[in-house]
Amino acid sequence: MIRYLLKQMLGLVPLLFLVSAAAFFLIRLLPVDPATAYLNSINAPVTEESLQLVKEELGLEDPVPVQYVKWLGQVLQGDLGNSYQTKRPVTEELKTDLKYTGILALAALVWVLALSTVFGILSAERANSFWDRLIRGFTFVGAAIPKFWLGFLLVYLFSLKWGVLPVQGATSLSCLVLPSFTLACSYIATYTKLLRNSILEMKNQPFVTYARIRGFTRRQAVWRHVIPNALLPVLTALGLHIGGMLSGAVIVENVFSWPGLGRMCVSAVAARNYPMIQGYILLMAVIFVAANLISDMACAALNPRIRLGGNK
Amino acid sequence: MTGENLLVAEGLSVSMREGETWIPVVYPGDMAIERGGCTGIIGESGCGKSMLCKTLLGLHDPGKWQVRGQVFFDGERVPIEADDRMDAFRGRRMSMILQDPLSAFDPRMTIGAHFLEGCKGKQKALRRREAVEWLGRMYMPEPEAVMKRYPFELSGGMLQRAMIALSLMGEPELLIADEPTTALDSTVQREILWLLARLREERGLSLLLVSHDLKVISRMADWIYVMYAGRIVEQGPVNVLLENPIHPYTKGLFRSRPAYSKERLTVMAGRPPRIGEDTGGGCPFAPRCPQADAACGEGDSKLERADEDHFVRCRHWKGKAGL
Ligand SMILES: Nc1ncnc2c1ncn2[C@@H]1O[C@H](COP(=O)(O)OP(=O)(O)O)[C@@H](O)[C@H]1O
Ligand SMILES: [Mg+2]
Repeated sequence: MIRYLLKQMLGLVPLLFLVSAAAFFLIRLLPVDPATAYLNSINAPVTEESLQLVKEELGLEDPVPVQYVKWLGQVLQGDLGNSYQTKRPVTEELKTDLKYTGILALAALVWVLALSTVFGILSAERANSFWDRLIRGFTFVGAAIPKFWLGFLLVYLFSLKWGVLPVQGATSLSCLVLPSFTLACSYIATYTKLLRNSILEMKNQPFVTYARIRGFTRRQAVWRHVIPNALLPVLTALGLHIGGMLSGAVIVENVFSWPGLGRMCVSAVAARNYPMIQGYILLMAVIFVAANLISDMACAALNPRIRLGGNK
Repeated sequence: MTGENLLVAEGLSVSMREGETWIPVVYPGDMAIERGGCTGIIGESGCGKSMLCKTLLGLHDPGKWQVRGQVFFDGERVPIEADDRMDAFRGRRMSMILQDPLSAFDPRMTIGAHFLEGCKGKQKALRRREAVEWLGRMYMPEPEAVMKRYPFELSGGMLQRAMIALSLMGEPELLIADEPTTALDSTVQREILWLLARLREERGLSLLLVSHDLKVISRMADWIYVMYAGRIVEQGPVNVLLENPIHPYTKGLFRSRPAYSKERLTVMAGRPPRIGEDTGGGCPFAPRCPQADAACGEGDSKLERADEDHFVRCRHWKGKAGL
């Protein structure tokens, strides 16, 4: 198991290199160079001289490959450079933003786990009933609804019309409700559908029939054999989607002014704040990779076939 | 029939829902299983043998299947139509073992966990001891170690032994064995059959043995039902049937004897009609029957008594005795 893990991690090193290089070179293709953006942001006049001065200060004089090598050298020492705007280290900035995005993603995960299990089980257990139809309607709509639109709709209803939840910000727990649900919605729909199908498929498995044959009641067979086995593929898929959830947070954070990575990233792009963008992309890549690894391991831990197979 | 009947089925039939209509899968038929005996069902794949077995245990979901007829067990009516009331019968009065032992065990659970399922607290230690004992009775090597294994870690033969032990833990009087050896190779097949025969002798276990393999049935059973396209086409004591099969289908079956083969039984030319397939209202075997004539296309024939306890479903049975 441990050897398997190490092997997986080693294989990911070149991937991270690739992502870092792609990030570095691609953002430099954006129109409007960072020096101009910087001068605009501090309302300074854009002249030949001032541009030259800023470029020197930000280290944008060198050819791009040279800049990359320098940056990479820093990164390997754990330094992602300083933000052009705040002049604070990128690692520090990312840390605070990551905390907020983490809270948002975690809250969304709670929504997803709670609602998709309840909906999925209810829907499969009462297949073709009124509830099943209602839930299937939701999974259809929920998966297709754009996040920004849902976000605005929820704000309109819960904040402006009924005034029960705050419009935006991150000052209290109630601020978390709308953004996390907005982020979770499409995943709830996806996993409800996945779990429903998985349960219906498991019900036809011979081991479920055999449990009935041995005299266990329908309910016992469902809770002991159908649902635990049906949850396996759902949990695996969930692990694979955690990274996607973090990147999906970009839209949600901007709609709700949630001070997380996504909002930071959008403003960093607008300001051509290269070190921040690079840092964000690198961090995302690491999170994606880690989430996949964790889901792999969770899947192995839950599935005796993989767990024991790995030991031999 | 000499002995006393443990199970009697009367007019038992199964139909499958297709939109608004019901398509017959097993046609109304009677059946009896002798106490302490071994009753065999033989027929090509897809002729409704497994359906019939599942019906005896009331395993059909009423939304999709319609079951008609009565089943009596030890003189008592079996509530095959009421799923919740069947729980008292299943596993305790009658149990079943399935064709593919690997898929019959929950892949997340050890063999031991299957034996301990539903046990709480102090019961567990007792049940564990019982389970090891039962596995030992099945001639399972190292039963203690097997308890800790996951299904995929065991061979088909070991799993089949474990399944028999698990099914017999509730001390049922009747064990339905649906193709118990089809998924196994021939030496293991023989061991499992020997085991079942021994359980019958030593514990008085009654068996309903389903197979498409005549070798298996003729070796084990003392009474045979031959099924074709959801109908019982011939029935009688094993020696009578083997010596004097009457129905052309039975004759065909007996002529093609696959020696412990895993493949589908290939008898004669052609194939059985699929469920719901239009057979023109005539005998479903007529298209494949070497002796069919115009009369065979006019209405299905009925099960008729050919001899004392030898029944056959062929309108021309009188002219067809002997191989
Ligand atoms: N779950 C099912 N849904 C629909 N048709 C089925 C199902 N199971 C079996 N059948 C059909 O019912 C018929 C009888 O099947 P079965 O009893 O399994 O045959 P046997 O056990 O004799 O091989 C076959 O034609 C098969 O295709
Ligand atoms: Mg079958």
